Amino acid sequence: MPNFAENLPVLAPLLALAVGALGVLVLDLVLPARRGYGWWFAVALAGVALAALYTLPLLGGNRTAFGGALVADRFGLFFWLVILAAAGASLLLSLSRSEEDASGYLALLLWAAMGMAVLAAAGNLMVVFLGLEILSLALYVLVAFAPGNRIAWEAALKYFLLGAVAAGFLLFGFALIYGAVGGVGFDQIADYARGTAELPRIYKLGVGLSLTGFAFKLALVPFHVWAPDAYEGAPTPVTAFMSVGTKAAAFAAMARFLVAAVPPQAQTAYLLPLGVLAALSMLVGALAAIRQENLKRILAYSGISHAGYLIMALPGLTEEGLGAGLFYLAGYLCMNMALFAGMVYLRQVGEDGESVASYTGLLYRRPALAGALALALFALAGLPPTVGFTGKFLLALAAIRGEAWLLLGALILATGVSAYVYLRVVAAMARQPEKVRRSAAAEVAAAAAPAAGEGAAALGLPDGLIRGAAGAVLVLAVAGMLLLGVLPGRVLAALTGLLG
Amino acid sequence: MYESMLLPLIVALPLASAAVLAAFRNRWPHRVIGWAGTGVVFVTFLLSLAAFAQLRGLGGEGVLRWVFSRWEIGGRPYEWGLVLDPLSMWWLLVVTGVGFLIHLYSIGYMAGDESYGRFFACLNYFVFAMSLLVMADNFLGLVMGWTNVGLASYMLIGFYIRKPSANAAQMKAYLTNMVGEVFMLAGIAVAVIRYGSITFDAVFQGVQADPGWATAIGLLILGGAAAKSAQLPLHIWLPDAMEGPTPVSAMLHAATMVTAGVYAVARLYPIYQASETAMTAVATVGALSALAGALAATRQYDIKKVLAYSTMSQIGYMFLANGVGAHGAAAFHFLTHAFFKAALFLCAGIIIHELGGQQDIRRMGGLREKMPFAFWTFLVGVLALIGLPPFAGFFSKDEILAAALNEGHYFLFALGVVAAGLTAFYNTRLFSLVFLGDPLEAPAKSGKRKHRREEEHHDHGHHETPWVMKAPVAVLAALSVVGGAFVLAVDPYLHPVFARFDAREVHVHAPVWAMALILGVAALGIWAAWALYGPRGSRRQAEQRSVGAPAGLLGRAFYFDEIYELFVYQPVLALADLVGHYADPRGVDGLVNGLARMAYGLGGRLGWLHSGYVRRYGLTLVIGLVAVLIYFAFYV
Repeated sequence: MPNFAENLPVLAPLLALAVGALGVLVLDLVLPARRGYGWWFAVALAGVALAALYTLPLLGGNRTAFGGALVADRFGLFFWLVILAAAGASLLLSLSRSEEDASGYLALLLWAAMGMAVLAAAGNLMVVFLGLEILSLALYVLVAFAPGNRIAWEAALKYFLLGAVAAGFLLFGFALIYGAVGGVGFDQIADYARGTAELPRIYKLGVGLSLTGFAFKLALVPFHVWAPDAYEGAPTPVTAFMSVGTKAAAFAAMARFLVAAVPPQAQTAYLLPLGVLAALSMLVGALAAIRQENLKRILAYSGISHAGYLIMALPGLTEEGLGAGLFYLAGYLCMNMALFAGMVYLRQVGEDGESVASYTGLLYRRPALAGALALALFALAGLPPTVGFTGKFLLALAAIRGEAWLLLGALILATGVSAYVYLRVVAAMARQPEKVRRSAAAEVAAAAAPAAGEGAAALGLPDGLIRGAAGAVLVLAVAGMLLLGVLPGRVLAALTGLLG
Repeated sequence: MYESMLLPLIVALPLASAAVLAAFRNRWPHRVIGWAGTGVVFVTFLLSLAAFAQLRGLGGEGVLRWVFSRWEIGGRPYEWGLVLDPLSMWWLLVVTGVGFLIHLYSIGYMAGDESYGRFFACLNYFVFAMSLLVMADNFLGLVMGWTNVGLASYMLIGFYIRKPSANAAQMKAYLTNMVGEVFMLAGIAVAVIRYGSITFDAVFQGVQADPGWATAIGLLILGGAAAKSAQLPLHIWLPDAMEGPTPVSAMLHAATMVTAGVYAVARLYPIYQASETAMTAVATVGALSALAGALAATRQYDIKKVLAYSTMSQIGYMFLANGVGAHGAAAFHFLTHAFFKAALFLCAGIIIHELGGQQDIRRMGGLREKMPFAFWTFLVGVLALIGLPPFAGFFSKDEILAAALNEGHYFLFALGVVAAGLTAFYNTRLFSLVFLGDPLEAPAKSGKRKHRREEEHHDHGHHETPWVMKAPVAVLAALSVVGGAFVLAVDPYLHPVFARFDAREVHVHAPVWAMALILGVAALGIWAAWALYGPRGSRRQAEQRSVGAPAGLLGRAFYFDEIYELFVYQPVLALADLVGHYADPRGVDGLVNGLARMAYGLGGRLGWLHSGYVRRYGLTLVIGLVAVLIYFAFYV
C-alpha cells in the first residue's frame, strides 16, 4: 500500500487543478453569480498558478508515485508546464465569457488540464486511459459550451461519438497487450518486448489498436475527421486549449508507450504505419486548409499538419529527436496562443476575427496587432526568425538522423503548400482597405451589434481587463516565439537535458 | 599588437547615433538633431586622435587591434575585428575630421529641410561605414565596410526621394558599384580559396611567390576599386551622384568615400607589387581617368559636375601613384584633395545656397562683389587644385608625377602632365565664369524655373550664409594653403606599413626640369582659359548665351552613358523582356501554376472527407483502423 504522504508532492499539481475546479463550483454555490463572477476566474487562475508552482520543485529529479503509476520525470514535467501554460492562457482568453454557468466551464477547463497532466505522466496503461477519459469527457462538454450555438452542439456530439469509438480502440488494444504481457506497467511491457524473441500476434494487434487510439487524439489522418468541426464549433479559448494541450498530452503518452512497447530490433517496422499516418496528416492538413475561409478551421487543419510534423521526432526514438519534438511543441504553444489571442482580441473590439475576409486591411486598422498575427502566421508557415523555422529545422534533422525520408519529403511538400494557406491570411491583412472599405465596415457593424447586445447582460468582466488579458497573452506568445526562434540553442540543450 | 577599446568605440558611436537619430528624426527639433549628429562625429574625431596618440606611443611596427569574435569553420580559424595601423589611421583621421567639418556645415545647409533627421542619420551612418572599411583587418571586414559604404552612398545620393533624377542617380551608382563588387568579391574569393585564409597577412605571404594568381586577384579587386573610386570605365555614376545634397557630394563623392578604391589598392599593395601587370593596370587606369576626367570637366555647365569630373581626374592621379608604387604619394594626395575639394564643394554649396538653388555656371558671373567670402575660399581651393606652389595640391601632385617619371613610366607621366594642364584650364574657366566679369543677366531672376537643380532647396532667392557654413570652409581653405606641409610627415609616418612586405622604394622628388614643365603646362592652361573665358574672353559671351545640357564629345564625357545604354542597358532589357514575357510565364510560372492548381484541386477533393456526416467520419476511422491492423497482423 503506497504511502500517501510520500506521493503527495507528485500529486500536488493535479490536486491543485482538481481543487481549483471544485473551488470555482463551491463559489458558484455560496455567492450570487453577480458578485462572485470575477472570483471564479481568479480561483481558476490561482489553481493553475498553484499547480505550476508545485511542478517547479519537482523538476530537480525523476520521481514516481503510486508504485510507478504516475511518472513525474522531467519529460513528463515539461509537458505539465506546456499544458499549464496552455490552460492559463486559455483561461485568460476566456475572461470574455458572460454566461451564468461559466463556473462549470472553468471547472471543466481545469479538469481537462488535469486529465492532460495525468496522461502526460502516466506510468501504465490504466492511467493512460484514465487521463484520456478525464480530458476527453471534459472536452466533449467544453466544445458544446457555446450558448445557443447549434454548430457547437453538433460538433460536440460528433466529437463524442467518434471519441467513444476511438476510446474503444484504445481500450481494446490495451486489453490485448495486457493479455500478452500479463501486466499494464510500461516497465513490464518494455521488459516483455525486449525479452521475448517472437512476439505474439495478439501483442502486435494490441500495439496497432493502441496506436490508432493515440492517433485519434493527435488528430492524425485518417483519424482526424472530428477535428475541423470540433475546432470550428468550440469557443475560441477552448479551441486554443484543445489544439495545444491535447496534442501535447497525447504526444507524451504515445512517446512513452512507443518507447516501452516497440522492440528495438523491429523499430522501423513498428513505426512505419505511424510515419505513413504522419505523412498523410501533413499533406492532407495542408491541402485541405487551402480552401477554408474560416481561420479557426484553417488552424484545425494546421493542427493536423502539425501533429504530423511532431511525429518526425519519433523515428529512432532518440533523445535528440524527442528533444526536437518538445521544442516544437513549446513553439507550437506560442504560435497557436498568439493567433487565438488575436482572434479573441478582435472579437472583443467588435470585429469578426474568424473569417479570412474579415482580416482584409487589418494592417492599416491595427498595425501592431496585424504585425504580431503575421509573425505567428509566419511561424506556422515555418519562416525565420521565428520558432516555426527553428523547430521545423530541428525536426527535419531528427528525421534525417532517423532516416525517415518519407516524413522528410512530406514535410517539404506540406511546408510548401501550407505557406500559401498562412500567407493568404497575411496577404488579406496587407490588402489596401480602400477597395473593401464598405464591406469591411459593414462586417464590423454586423459584428458589433450582437456584441453590444451581450454587453447589456448583467454578467461580465470589464472590457479593458479582457482586452488587456488577451493582449498580454499575445505579447507573451510572440515574445516566446521570437526567443525560441532566435536563441534555440539554450532552450534545446535544456530540453535534451530533460530527457537524460 | 595592442588591444584598444578606442577602436570599437570609434565605429559604435556613429552607428548608435545614426540609429538614435533615425528613431527620433521626427520628434526631436532640428537644432538638437543637427548638433547631436555633429557632436558625435566630433567626439569620434577626438577618439581617433586619442587612438593616434596611442599608436604613436607604440612606435615602429605597432598596431592597435580589437577582436569582436573568433570562430572556426572546417578547422580553420576566422576572426572579425578592427585594426589601426598608420595607413588606416591616415584615412580615419581625414574621414572623421573632414567628416566633422562637413557635418557642421550641414547644420546650416540643410536647415529647413523636412528630412533633416534622416540626413544626419544617414551621414552618421556613413561615418560608421567608412571607419569600418578603413579599420578592417581582413577581407571579410573590408567587404563589410565596402558594402555599408555603398548603402550609405545610395541613401544619400537619393536623399531627395521625390526627385526622379535623384532616384535614377542612386540606382545608377549602386548598380555600377555592384558590377565592381562582383569583380572584387571574385578576386577575394580566389585569394581566400587559394591561400586558405581571410586575413590580409596570409594572402600577402601567399602572393609573394605566386605572381600569376597575384595578377588575377589584383585585377579583379581593381574592378571593385575602380567602380567605387569612379575610375574608367566604371566612373559613369559619379557625375550623376551630384543629385545628392552638396555636403554629401563634398564628403562622400569627393573627400572620403570615393577614395576607398585608392585605400584598397594601397592596403593590398603586396598583391599588386607581386605582379607587374596589375601595377601597370592600376597606373594606366589612373592616368587615363585623370586625363578623361579633366577633359570632360572643361565642357560642363553645372558647377557640381565640373567638380565631379575633377574628382574623377584627381583620384586618377592617386591611382597613378599607387600604380607606380608610390603609395605614400597616393595617401598624401588623398589628404590634400580632401582639403581643397571639400572646400570647393562646400563653397559651391554656399553659392548655390545664396543663389537659391542655381547651379548653372552660365547663369552666374560677377559674384566676386556679392560673395567675397566664397570668392576668396574658392580661389584658394582652385589654386590648390591647379597645383600652384605653395598650395597643398602642388606638393602632392608633384610627388605623383615625379614618381611616375622616376619609375620610367614616361607615357603615363606625359598623360599626367597634360591632365595637369587641363586641370588648370577648366579651373580657370570655372572660376572666371562664376566670379569674374559680368553676369549675362541678373542671376537671381534668370532661368529660375528652368535651371534650378536642387528643387527641394527649401526656398528661393538670396540667403545669408550662417557661420556654421562659413567656418568649415574657412578651415578647409586654410588647410588647402598649408596642407602641403604634410609632405614632410607622410612618408616617414606610413613607412612601417609599406616596409612590412618590402614595397619598392620610389623616389618622389622631381628633377627641376620636370617641375618646371608641370608648372609651365599649368600656366599654359590658365592662359588659354583666360583668353577664352576670362572677363573679356573670346568665348565667354557665346558660352553664357548657350542653353541646354552640355553636348559634344567632351560635354557628354566621351559618350560613356550612351555606349552603356546601347551595349549594356538595351541588351539586358531585351533579355529581361524575353524572360519576363516568354520564358518565365510559360515555363516557370506554368509549372508553378500547374502545381498550385493541382494542390487547389486536391484541397477541394478532400472536402469529401469532411462532409459533416458522422457515418462517413466513422467509415474513415474504420478504414484507417483496418489498414493499421492488417499491417500489424501480417507485416510486423
